[in-house]
Amino acid sequence: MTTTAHLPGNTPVASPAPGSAGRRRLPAEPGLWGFLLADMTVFAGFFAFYLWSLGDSRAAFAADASQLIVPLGLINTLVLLASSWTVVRAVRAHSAGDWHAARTWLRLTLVGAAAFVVIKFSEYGVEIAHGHTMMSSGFFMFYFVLTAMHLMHVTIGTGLVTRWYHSLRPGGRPASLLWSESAAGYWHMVDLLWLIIFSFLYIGSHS
Amino acid sequence: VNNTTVKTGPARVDIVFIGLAVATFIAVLLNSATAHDLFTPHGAAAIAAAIAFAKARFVVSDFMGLRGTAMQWLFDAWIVVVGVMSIALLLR
Repeated sequence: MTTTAHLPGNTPVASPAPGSAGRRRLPAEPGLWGFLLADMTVFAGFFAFYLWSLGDSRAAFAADASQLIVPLGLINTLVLLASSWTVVRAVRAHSAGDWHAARTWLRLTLVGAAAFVVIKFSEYGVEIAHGHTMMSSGFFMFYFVLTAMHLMHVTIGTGLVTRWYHSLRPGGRPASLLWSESAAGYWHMVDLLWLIIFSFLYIGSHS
Repeated sequence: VNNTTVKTGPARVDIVFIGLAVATFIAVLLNSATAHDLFTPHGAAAIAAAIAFAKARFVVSDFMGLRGTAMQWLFDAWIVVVGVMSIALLLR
């Protein structure tokens, strides 16, 4: 089934939006992807440092990792995955000129972002209450640094999605498709990084 | 005003989302005692990492929408290099 849409004020779209089959057009601004790769590479450096340290202190890291609340990490992973999916849906609605649907998907994304932050801070609270801080051990230093860096990216991504959401309010001037795809790309990077962080901290450190 | 044709209907991205969620549960099971009977601890950690990087690949291709674009190979290269490095360090 196909639908015809009008895109007032947006860049012409030559192919379907992300999530559709058969696309070849590069979403967003080309420079964005270089920026995201650079950002991800900074994280990769931290990953390497963490895994090297893990290899040097397996028993101590495993003992500390066992103190993490894996179900909370799992819930946050599912929340971010779901929010990435809703962002894809928002881009598709945006590219079709369906501002109402795009706002609905973005509202769900923002709910997911808020849930992630609340769960993360709850987890921090529990860990700190048990005496686990950045200074208490090597594992928890990495835990707080990696998750706080990621949380900073969640905050930036939330800001981008919020601006996108407000641009679609009735009577407002909708963000361009390229802009919305750029915000979406950033949000997906936030999701991608968390998938790896979750694997390393909550699963891989228990061995 | 531009006219654009957008395909709708069953979307690959929906299936990918479900697959990623299922893969997440499978990865968490690698922490279980049963998994530790089947794999060495280092092996279980490496498998979990491999699952995570495979998931990252789907995020790149299907969520970011880079599948079939000129940028895909750069992100694929990042995933392979960082993934192999991570698994090697986990097996160290």
